[in-house]
Amino acid sequence: MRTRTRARRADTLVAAIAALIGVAALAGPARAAAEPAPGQAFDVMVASSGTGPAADATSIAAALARSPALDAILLAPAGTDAADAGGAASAGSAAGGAVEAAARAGCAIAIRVESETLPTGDARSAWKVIDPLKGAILAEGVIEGQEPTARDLAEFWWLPLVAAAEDAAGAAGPLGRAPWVRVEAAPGTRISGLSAAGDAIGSRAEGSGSAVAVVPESGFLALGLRVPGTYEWRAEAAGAYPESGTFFAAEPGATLSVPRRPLRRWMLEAGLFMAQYPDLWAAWRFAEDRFFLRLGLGQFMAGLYLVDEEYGTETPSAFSSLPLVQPGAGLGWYAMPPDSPVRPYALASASARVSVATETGLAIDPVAPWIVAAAIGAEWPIARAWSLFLEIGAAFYPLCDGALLASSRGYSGIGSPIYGDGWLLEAPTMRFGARVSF
Amino acid sequence: MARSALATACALVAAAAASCWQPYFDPGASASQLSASRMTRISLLAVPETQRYQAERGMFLPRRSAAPTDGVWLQGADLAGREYATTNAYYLGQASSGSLFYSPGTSFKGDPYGEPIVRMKPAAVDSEPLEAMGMALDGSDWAAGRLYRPDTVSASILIGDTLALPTPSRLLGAGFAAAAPGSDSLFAAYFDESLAAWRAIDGDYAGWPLGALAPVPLTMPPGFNDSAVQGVGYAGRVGSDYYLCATTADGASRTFRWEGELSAAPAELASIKAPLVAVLSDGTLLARDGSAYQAYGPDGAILFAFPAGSLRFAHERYDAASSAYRSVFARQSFISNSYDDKGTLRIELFEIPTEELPGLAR
Repeated sequence: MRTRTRARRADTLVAAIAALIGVAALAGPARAAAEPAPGQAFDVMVASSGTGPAADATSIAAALARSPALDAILLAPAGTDAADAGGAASAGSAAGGAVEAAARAGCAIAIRVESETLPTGDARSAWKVIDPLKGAILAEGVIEGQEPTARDLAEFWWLPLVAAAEDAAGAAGPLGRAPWVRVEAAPGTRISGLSAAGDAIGSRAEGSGSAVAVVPESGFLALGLRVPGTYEWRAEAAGAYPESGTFFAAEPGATLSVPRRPLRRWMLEAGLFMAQYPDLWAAWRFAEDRFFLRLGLGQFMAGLYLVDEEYGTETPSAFSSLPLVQPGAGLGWYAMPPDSPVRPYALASASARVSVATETGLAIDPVAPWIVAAAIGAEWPIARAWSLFLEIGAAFYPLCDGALLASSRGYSGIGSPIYGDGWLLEAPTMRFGARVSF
Repeated sequence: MARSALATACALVAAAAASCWQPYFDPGASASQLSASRMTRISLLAVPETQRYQAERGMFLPRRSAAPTDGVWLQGADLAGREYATTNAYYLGQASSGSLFYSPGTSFKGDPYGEPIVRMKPAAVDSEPLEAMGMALDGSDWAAGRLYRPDTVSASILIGDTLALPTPSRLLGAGFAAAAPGSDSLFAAYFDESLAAWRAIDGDYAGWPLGALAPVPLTMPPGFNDSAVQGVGYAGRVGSDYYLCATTADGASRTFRWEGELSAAPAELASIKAPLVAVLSDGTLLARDGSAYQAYGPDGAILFAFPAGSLRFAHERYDAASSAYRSVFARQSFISNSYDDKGTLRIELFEIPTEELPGLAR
C-alpha cells in the first residue's frame, strides 16, 4: 500500500495542487455548480489550527488528495474556527464553524485537526472526522512524534488521518455521499441527468449505476445530489411529452417538480406536393409519438403550374387541373423524440389512383391503379402544436403499364422515370407543409 | 433565427421546384386502357429520337396482317387545326427512328378539316411491299391514288396511279369498309358541278390496279344544303346499305342511309349525333364522340359505347383462321427524353373480334 502510494505520488501531487487552486478560486462556502456525475463524489473539507509545521492545512489536503477514495479536498474558508466542533461535536456547537461550512459545501465529511509543538520538541496532531450533516464524530485520533519535516508531512505523518477518511468514505456508501433532493413526477417517469439514479430511494431503474431513475407509485423520488448544484435533467413518461430543464439545487431538500403534458395523439397536415398540388392528411400517433398512421387525400384537380414563357409557344395557365385524386394510407416513424428541435422521420404510404375524368368516369386508373411512396423528412416545431415539414422521396407505381404511364405525363423538367413492363419509379419527389396536433 | 432560416429554405425549395412538374396521368391514355385491356395487343413499334411535334401530329395505318410490323405514318404538315390539309407519308417499320423525318416524305393534300382518307390494302401479306389507297386532291380536283412502297427495302412511300373524279366536283364524303375477305368497298359521294347533279362512286378495293370508278346517280334528301357542309365526311357501304356522314360548320353531324338504292332519297339517322368514322362488316356503325366510340345499328339505334381515349380505330382485318373479322385499333404515345426535346414514339396495335366489340361497353 505504501509502495503504491509512492509510485503515484507525482500525479497525486499535481492533482492535489490543482484541487487546491480550485478551492482558492471558489473562495466561499458554496460552489456555483457541481461537477458532472456528482453521485460518485465524496468531498472533504479540512480545517486546521494550532502551531508547528503540522498546523499547515495544505499538507493535510495534499495527503488526502492522494487517496483515490476521496474526491475534492476543500480547505475551510478563512475565519472559520477549526476548534468549533471540539468536545461536543454537535451541530449546534458547530454553528458558524468549519463543520457548517462543510455542510453548506455539500461535503461528505469534515476533518478538523489541531496541532501543537510539545515542550519536548515533539509534535502532536489531534484529528477528528465529522459527519457535517449530523455533527457526529465518525473517527478521531492523535498523531505524535518528532516534529515533522515537510517531507514527513507529505509522506507519512497524516496516514492515520487519511485511512480514517477512507474508512468514512467506505462506510458512508453511495447514499451517504450527498444530500437528498426531492423529485416529484408522475409515477413511471424516467428521469436522467440527476445524480445517482441508481441510488434513488424506492426505485432503481436499470441497475446500479444507471443514469436513469424511475419515479415510483408514490410520485416522488429522493436523490442524493451534490448541493448546491445545477443539473440538466430530462424526464420521459408514458403518454406525455418529454420534459427537460435546468434544476438548481440550492440546498438539501430542494424539490424538482416535473410537469406533465399529455401527448397529442391526432395530427392534421396540409402539404404542397412538388410545391404545386395541395393535399390533406390526418394522422394518429402512437408508441409514444414515435410512429404514426395516416389517412389522406392527394389531388391534382387544383394546383399551380408556373413555367417560364417560351418564344413561339403559348404560355400555359398558372393553374393546373387534372382529374385525378389519390386517397391513401401510410405509416411513419420518427427517429427522434417529440421534444427534439428537429424530428427526422421516414414515411411510407400507398394510395389508389382514382380518375374522375369524364373519359373514364369514376374509376381506378387502369394505367396505374396504385402508387407506393416513400420519403424521408424533417419536422420543425414552430409553436406549441404547430410544426413545418419538408419531405424528399420517391414514388413507385406497381402493376401498371410502365411505358404508357411514362408517356402520360407529357413534358416535365423534373426527373426522369425509370420504368419496366409493369412498373415505374419516379424520383425525386418533394413535399412540404404544416402540421397541427391536437 | 433558425425559424427564419427554415422559412427561407422552404421558400427557396418551393421556388426551385414549383413549376413544371406534372403527374403521370393522361385521361385519354386511361380511357384507352379501359378498352385496350380487353383486346389483344398484336404489335408494338417504337420509333426513338422522334421530335414531339412530329409524333403528335401524325397517325399510323398498320399493314392489315395478323402481326403487323410496318405501316404508313401520315403526318399533318400544315397549321395546327388544319394540319392534314397537307400530309406527308412515311414508311414506318420496326427499324425506323426519328431520322425518318429528316426527309420531307411524300406529300399530298386532302381535307383540311379531317383526317387523311387512306385505306391499307386488304389481306396484306407481310412479305409484299406495302400498299394503300387514298383520296387526295390533285391540284383542286379529287382523285383516288395509290400509296405504295416500291420494294421491300425502300424507306419511302410513293404516290401514283391516280384516278380522278369528274371535274369540277365537290367531294362530300368518301370511305372504305370491309366488304369481303380480301376486298373493301369504296364509296364516295360528290356533287358534279359540270352536271349540277349528285353522283356516287361505288367500287371495291382489293389492291392495285383499281377497277373503273363509274359514277352513278345519287339522290340526296330534299332540301339538303351542301354549302353548309364543312370538309369531307365519312362514306361507306356494307352489303347493300350506303352511309354518308356530313358535318356542318357548327360541328353538327348528319348521317344518311340509303337502303340498296342510291337513286332513292336516303333516310336520315337522326339519333347519330357524332361523326361517323366506320361501318363495320357486321353492319355496325361506329361514331366517335369525344373520347368514346358509339356503336349504332344500321337503322341508327344506339347499341353500345365504349371508351377510346387515345385509341383509334384503324380498320377491320379478316382472320382466315377464325373466319371472322377483327377490328384493329392503334394507340400512339410519346415518351419524352429527359435530356432533350425528343423522345420515343410508341405505336401499339390492338385487335378484337368485331363480334366481341359489345363486350367493351361501359
